Amino acid sequence: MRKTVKTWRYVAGAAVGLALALGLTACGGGQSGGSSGAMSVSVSEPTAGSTVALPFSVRVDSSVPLGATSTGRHHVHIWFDGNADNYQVVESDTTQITDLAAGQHTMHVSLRNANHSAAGAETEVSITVTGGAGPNPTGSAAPPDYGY
Amino acid sequence: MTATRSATPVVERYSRAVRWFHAATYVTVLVLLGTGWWLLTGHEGRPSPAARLTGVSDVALHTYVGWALTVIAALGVTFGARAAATFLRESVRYDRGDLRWFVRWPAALATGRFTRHEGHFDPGQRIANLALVGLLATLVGTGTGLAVVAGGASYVWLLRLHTWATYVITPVLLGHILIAAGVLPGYRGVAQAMHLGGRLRVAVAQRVWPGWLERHASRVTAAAGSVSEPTGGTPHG
Repeated sequence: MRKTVKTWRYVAGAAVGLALALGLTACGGGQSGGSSGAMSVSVSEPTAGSTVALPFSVRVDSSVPLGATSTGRHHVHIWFDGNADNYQVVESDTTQITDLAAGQHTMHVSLRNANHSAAGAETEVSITVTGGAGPNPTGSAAPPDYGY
Repeated sequence: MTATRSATPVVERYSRAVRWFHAATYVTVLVLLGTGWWLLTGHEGRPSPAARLTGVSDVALHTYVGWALTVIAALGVTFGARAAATFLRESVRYDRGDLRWFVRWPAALATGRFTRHEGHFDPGQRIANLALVGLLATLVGTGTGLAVVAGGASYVWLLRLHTWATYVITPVLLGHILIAAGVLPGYRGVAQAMHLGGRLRVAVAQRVWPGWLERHASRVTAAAGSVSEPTGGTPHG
């Protein structure tokens, strides 16, 4: 009887662990967003290849309304030069970039679900910054302050 | 447990499995609390020290460690079902005289002269246990929901609950850490109950959990009477 209970516990534990591991794979690791089918995002300002001086405005066009995460709406992550963990959260159509090193940069724009998982719409724009201040986001240990 | 390593009598209040479960829980909870407050205070996108250390963004780190806590909790409840039942039963316990314990508690924090109680946990600990378990369950439940639900009205409610549970659990956890760390004179020495081999000084157990210590000692004595060799968990002199 005691052995049966012990075996049952191991089976139940294994089942719970497996279910949670599957949940982790499906929900945590994949970061899959909600309905990503027809979603799109683009940058109307600055245009690709343009030269800008700090501070400069970024205007994004999204197929879905943007808003604060507390509203359950989508938002946008902007980062530079592949440094995806160091991003600016944009909850409206426009934002200002106030701190970026001078030189050529690739600006990545990613549409995100409210829970920050990727919504499946991304774009990138190459720009040249003149008169930049602060550290280069790709080359410095200290993250730049993007002005929020 | 073998013979004592020092002249100070000690007692094992929690088993090794319980101590490891507690340690795994608080390590994950501390990471979640740190990254959670980092995000809650508008630092999203700027890597926290934990994010820099691990190379994982705060949102991802919060999510992954949240899943780890979920797994730890599920495994704990499954494999430690009996301990979990005892924990709950002892946490909802109420004895006559417990209110007197609360009246004397503020002074006892400094003097260590607690009113006697009979529980496995002291009356304040019981309330903290229930609050912590309820709030952690809320956080794990809503956190799982937030990872699964990408947005919309359900997400908004889950986020509200998750945020408010964070506001409430933070002072409870800070209070628990302050007391359990043994910083306050009345609780000095209690940290050993959960750490460093779980060898709690008997004098500390007598001061903080007198009823439990007596029951524990009589159980051990009874066991020693029926078995020639002493078993673990006994007060060692």
